[in-house]
Amino acid sequence: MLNLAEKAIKYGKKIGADEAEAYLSKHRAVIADIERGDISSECIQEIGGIGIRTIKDGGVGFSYTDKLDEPRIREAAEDSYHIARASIRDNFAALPHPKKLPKVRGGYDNRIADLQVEECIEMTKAMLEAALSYDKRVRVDMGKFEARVEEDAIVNTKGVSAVERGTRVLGFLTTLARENEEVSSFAHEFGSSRSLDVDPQSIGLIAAEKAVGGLGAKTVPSFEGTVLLDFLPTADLIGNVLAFGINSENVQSNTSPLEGKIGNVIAVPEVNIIDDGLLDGGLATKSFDDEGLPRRRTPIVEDGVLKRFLFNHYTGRKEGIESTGNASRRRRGLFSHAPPPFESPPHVFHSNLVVERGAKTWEDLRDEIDKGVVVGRFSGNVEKGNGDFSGVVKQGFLVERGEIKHSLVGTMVSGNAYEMLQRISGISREVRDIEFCRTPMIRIENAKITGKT
Amino acid sequence: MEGGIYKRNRNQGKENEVWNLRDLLEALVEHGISRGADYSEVRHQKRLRSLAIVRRGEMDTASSGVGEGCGIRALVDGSWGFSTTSSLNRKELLRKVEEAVRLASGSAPIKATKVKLADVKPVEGEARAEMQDDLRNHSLEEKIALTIEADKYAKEFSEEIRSRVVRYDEHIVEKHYVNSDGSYYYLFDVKPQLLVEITAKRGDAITETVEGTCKTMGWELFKEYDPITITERACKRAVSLLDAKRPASGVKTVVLDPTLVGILSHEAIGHTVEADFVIAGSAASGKIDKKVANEMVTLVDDGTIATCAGWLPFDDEGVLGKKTIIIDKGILRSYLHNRETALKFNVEPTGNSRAWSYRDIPLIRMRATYIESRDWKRQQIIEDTKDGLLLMGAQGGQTDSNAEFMFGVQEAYRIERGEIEEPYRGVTISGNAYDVLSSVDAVGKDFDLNIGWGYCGKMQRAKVDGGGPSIRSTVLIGGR
Repeated sequence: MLNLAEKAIKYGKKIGADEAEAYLSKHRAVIADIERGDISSECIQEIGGIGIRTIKDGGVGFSYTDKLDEPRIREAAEDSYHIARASIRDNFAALPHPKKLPKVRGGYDNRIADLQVEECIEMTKAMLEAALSYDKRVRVDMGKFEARVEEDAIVNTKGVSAVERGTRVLGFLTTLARENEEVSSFAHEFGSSRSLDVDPQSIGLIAAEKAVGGLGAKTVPSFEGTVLLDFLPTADLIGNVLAFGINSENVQSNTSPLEGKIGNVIAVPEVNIIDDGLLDGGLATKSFDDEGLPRRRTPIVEDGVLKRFLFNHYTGRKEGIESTGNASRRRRGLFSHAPPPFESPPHVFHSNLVVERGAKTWEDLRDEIDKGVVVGRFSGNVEKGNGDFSGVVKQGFLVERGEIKHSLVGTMVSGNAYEMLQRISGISREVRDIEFCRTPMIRIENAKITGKT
Repeated sequence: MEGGIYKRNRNQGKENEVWNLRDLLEALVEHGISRGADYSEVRHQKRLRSLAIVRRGEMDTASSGVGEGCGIRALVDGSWGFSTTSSLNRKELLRKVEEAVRLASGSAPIKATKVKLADVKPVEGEARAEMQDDLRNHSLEEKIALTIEADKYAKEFSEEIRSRVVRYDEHIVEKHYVNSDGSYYYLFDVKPQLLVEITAKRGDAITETVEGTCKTMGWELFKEYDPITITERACKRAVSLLDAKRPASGVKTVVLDPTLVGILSHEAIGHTVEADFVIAGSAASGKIDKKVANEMVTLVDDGTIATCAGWLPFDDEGVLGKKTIIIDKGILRSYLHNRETALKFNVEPTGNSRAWSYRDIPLIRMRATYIESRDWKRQQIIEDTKDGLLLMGAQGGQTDSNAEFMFGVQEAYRIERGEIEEPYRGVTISGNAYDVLSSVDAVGKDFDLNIGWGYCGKMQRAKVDGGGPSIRSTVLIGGR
C-alpha cells in the first residue's frame, strides 16, 4: 500500500504540486442483512481507494478514485492538482511533518479478520432468534451483522509515512411490537467492538424487551420534570452538540457557542470529558489521525470546566498551536453505511469522545426520580449553533416516585443542551460505545415535557 | 415508453463503450445462472462527484472523485447473495459472480421464507437526464466562483451574519443494468445542488437557517433558482428571526407550505407505506382500502417527473418508473414495492427498488412524494384560519413504526382572524401521520416540488423529492 501511495505523491510533485499527500484505504466487510424478520441477504464488500491532496501556491485540491491502478491514480493526482490551482489561496494551507506515533492496543482481532461467512450468518441468526423467541408480539424490522477488516496508509511529501490495520464488528437490530391494532415505536439495540466480543443473543433479547416495553403507550399532560437519557439520546443531545462546539473549524468560523469559553464552567463539576484517540479497543482508536499525526488524549471538560478545543494541522496553524491529532475523514461513521474515508479530505472530528462514568447504576438514577420521563431514543432536531433542541420522546416511559407508570407516545421534550449540562443530577456507572462516543446515561432536572393536553 | 424521458440513441456518444459494457454484464449474468442462480443481476455504476464548499470566504473543500464498480446479486433457492467490487477486471468480476451465488446458497437453508420475485416485462432502453446547459461544460473554477459569489452576498447582507457555508455538490451518474429476465437499461442521471447555511447572531441570540436547491437539470438550474436569491432568503430569515420567540407548545391548527407538505408526505406517510416496513408490522399494515385521510387528500409517489430530484425512470430491479397513487381521496390504495414485496401482496411492482452506489443492496425507497393540489387559494386558507400558525421551511425529519413522525420547521407566523401576525423561530412538530392527514380541512391550488436538496437516509442515501400545495391541518408543536 505504501508503495502505491509513494508513487502517487511523487507524481503529484512531478506535475507541479508544492506539497502532496496520499491517503489509501482498503476494507473487506462480511455483512448479513436482516429485513422483515428474516436474513435478507449475505454480502461481501471489498472496497479500496485513494484520496490525493495537493497544495499549489496556497490553494488546496483533493481528488479520489476507487481504482488502485497507476493510471487512475495519476488521473486523480492530476485532478487534485488542477483543483488546487483553481482553489482559493490560503496562507495556512500546509501538510504536516511526521511525528513519533504512539502504540495503541486492542484495534485488531484476528478472529474478526478471519471470520467466515457461515459464522457471520450464525451470529445474525442468533440475534434474530433471540428477539423473535422472546415474545410473540415482537417483529423485527431490520438489522445486520457486519465484520470488517481494514487497512489505512498515509504518505506525504513532508515525510509522513504510516500504515495500520484495524478490525470492527457491529450487530444491530430494529424491532417493534404489535398487539391487536397497537404498534410500538421502533426499538434499536446494538453492540459494536474492535474485538469479536459482541453478544448477538443479548442484542436480540434487549431489542425485543425494548419493543414490548413500548406497548400500552399514552401521552401525558405537559409538565416540567426530570429526564433520564438513555445512551443513544445522551450521545445525540450531549455528545454531538458538544462535539460540534469543541471542533476548531466551528470555533474559527464563529458558529460554536463555546468560542471564547475556555476556562469557563460549562457543566456541573461531576462532568469530565476527554477525547481519547488512544483508548484501548476504542472504536475510533488508531495510532495516527487521517493526516498521519499522532492520535492523543485531549481533556475537553475537567470537573465541569472547558479545557480544550480539537484541532487538525490546518486549524492548529491558524492559532499557532499543534494539532491535537483530530484530522478525520470518517465523520459519517465507521461501518459500511458510511462512505469510505478515501472519498473525503481531512476535516476536524473527535476520535473517541469519552464522557466519564458516574457512581450510580442507571436503575438507581431512575428510582430517585420524583416525576419525569426516561427517554429511550430522541427523534428531533438540534440547533448545534446554540444547543436548542426539540423532538419526540421515543421508547420512553413516565416515571412517578421512582416507578415506571407507562410508555409514552405523543410526547415531546425540549430544551437547550448547554443549559442541560448545568442541570445534570446524575451520571450512570454503565457506559456504551456509540460510534465516536463512549457515553453513560445522564439525568437532567427541570426539562420541559410537552404532551397532548 | 413515455414522452420525453426515454430516448433510444444507440448511435450517439460513446457507442462502443456502452455496448461492450453491456456484453460484459450479460456475460456475468449468464455466468451467475450457469453457476446455479435462479435469477441474477449486475449493476455497473459510475459516479462523478464535484464538491466546492466555501466557509466564511475560505475554501473548506474543493474536491472531485470517481466511484465506479459493480453490484452483483444472485438469487438461489429463495435467498439473496450480494457481492460488490470496484474492479472492472473480467476475471475478478466472474469470481465475484461466483461469490454472490455461493453467499446466496450459504444462507438459503436458514431462511424462514423463500424470496420470489413478481414477473415484470423485461425492459430495454435508455434514459438520459436532460440538460439544456451541460454541467460538464462548466469548469470547477466556475462552480467555486458561484459559491464565492453567494458567500460574498451573505457577508455583505448584514453585520449580524456570523457565519456562512455555501456548498456546491454535483453528482453525475451512469448506470448499466442487466438481469437474467432479459432486461437491459442505461441510465444517465445528474444532480447539481446548492446549499446555503447561514448563522446570525445578536447579543446571545443565535439563529441558523438553511436554503437550497437540487433538481435533475443542467447548469440552467441556477438560472431558474438563482444562487443569490436563495442566499438572500436564508440571510433574511436568519436575521429577521433573531428577536423572534418560539411559539407555545401544544396541539395547534397549522398551515403548511409546499416544502413542509413534501416533508409530511415523505416522512409521515411515505416511509410507513414502504412495503418492507409494512411487512415488518408498521402502522400502515392492514389499512389498504381503508380511510386513512380526509377525502381532499390524494398522495402520490412518482418516478416520472423528469426534472425533479426524485426522477427514477427505471429502478434497480429493472422495473419501469411510474406514478403510484398511495392515497386516493382519503383511501389508502397502494404501498411502495420492490419485486419481492409486490408478489407477496399480489400487485404490480411500483419501481421503488433503489441503491445509492454499486456497493449498496437495493431497498424500497421513495422518489417524488407529494399531495395533489385542490381548489383552495393559499390566501383563502389563511383568511379562513381564526387561530393558527403558518409554518415554512424544512429541517430534518424522521418517522416511526407507529406512524408518529417529527420534522423541523424553520419559521412560523401567528395567524389571527385570517391575518398573518408576528414571526416565531423554528420548532419541531410531531403527530400521528394518519391523525394529521385526517385533520386536513383545506388543500391549496398552489404546487411546488422542492425538497430535493436533502438526502433520505435508510441504511444508505437516496435523492428524493417531495412537495404539494399549501394545506391546513392539526399537529403537535414542540416547545424549546
